[in-house]
Amino acid sequence: MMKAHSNIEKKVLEFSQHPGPRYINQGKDSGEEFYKSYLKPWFEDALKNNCTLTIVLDGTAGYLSSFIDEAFGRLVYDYGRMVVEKNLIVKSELETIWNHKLENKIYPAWEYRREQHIAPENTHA
Amino acid sequence: MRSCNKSRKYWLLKERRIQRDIRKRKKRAKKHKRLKSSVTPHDFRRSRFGEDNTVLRHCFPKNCEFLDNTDAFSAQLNKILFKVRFNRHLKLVVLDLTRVEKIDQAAIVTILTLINYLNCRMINIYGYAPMNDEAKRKIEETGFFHHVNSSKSVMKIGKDVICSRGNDKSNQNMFAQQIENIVEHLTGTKGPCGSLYNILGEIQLNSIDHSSQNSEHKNWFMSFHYEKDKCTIAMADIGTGIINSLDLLLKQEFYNKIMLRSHSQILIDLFKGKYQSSTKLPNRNNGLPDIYDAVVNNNKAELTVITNKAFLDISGNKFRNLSVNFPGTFYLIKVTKQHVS
Repeated sequence: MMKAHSNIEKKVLEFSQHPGPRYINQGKDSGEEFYKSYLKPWFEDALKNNCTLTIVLDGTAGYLSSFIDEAFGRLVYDYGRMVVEKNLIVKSELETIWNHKLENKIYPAWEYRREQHIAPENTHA
Repeated sequence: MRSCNKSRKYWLLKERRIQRDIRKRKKRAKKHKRLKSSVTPHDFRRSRFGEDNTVLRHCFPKNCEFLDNTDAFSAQLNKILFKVRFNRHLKLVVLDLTRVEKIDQAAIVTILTLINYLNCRMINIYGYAPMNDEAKRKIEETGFFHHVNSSKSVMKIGKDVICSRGNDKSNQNMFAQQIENIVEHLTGTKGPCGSLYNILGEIQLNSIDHSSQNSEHKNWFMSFHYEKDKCTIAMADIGTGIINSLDLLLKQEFYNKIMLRSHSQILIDLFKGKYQSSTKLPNRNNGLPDIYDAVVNNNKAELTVITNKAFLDISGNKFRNLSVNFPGTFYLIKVTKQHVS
């Protein structure tokens, strides 16, 4: 697989120390909010500059599986699994379980949603 | 002669009129009796709550243990909720615990959840302490009476107990702080615990999703108890319960399958991820399976769940069916040093 040249490293900690639920209407610091305000602009920048985006999960209090699903799943829905896997690296030394879940559960499920045109829900506070 | 005839006619007519009135009265009484026998909310209010239907007084029995006596305790809760749901004029609920001799932490947390549920419905609460010293001490330790008199959303009661309550929004900041304290309490060094964060976050979201379909009536209550070698986290919500809400949502598709299975079997299957989410999206319904994975496969905590007619001890792999429906969901999580290190 051809890798992009340079690398941009970003931390989820820049968004929040306490990542929250799936949707904005469920509570503060949601996966939906993280995707719209941080992850999508970061990923677009990386694509524009032909870079790889590395997201560091460590440093926060932890994650809810629905947060990870909504944030990274929407990326697959918008750009496709191939593009995401080529340009995104999710790094975690403390919680390696998320890498396994992203590859085996979240990416395939959202790729299916992309193929079936099942759009993600947009909520408001 | 004429007057005599007149008077006879008069008396005849009067007698007929009287008989007609008697018949009417009998008919009216019969109709009233028939109406009275059918229970309508209006009759229910008149008959059960007497003149003052704005106050409800409930006396708890001697044995108020939830984990050992789940059916009886659920019956008590159902009794209160039935009266609360039928009586729109209710403004004050008096919880009388004077007779209580035995009570456990689970029961106290569930009563506090009930109080939160009533507060969400704008009903005031008043409480009486138990006469029994041990029961009184147990209840006082959890800050029960402090909670009854307080309107604050987060409160610190004592050194060992921290309680928090909420409505239709999750509050991960609160439990993240408590997780750090739990890790420090058990290991001596402060730090995060990702698996516990995921478990507590998912059960909180689950409580919000399944407590009620009406967002105004959504409620949850979480309490952290610090003991010598372990920490206990109790979380509860009052409303529909996991299985009943599932039954409502998936009635069309899984009706036959679900009706043939007991509640505890359905709950196990839900935790194992065998049922599809109500949204039918492939990426959903991962919350409960992730909790199951963390508890059973990775040994991150001990978990007991009570919802509707199911009692499930996930870490001990024990389950039983209850005869009385628990109107909500109750989680009991035990964490030791082994789990967090």
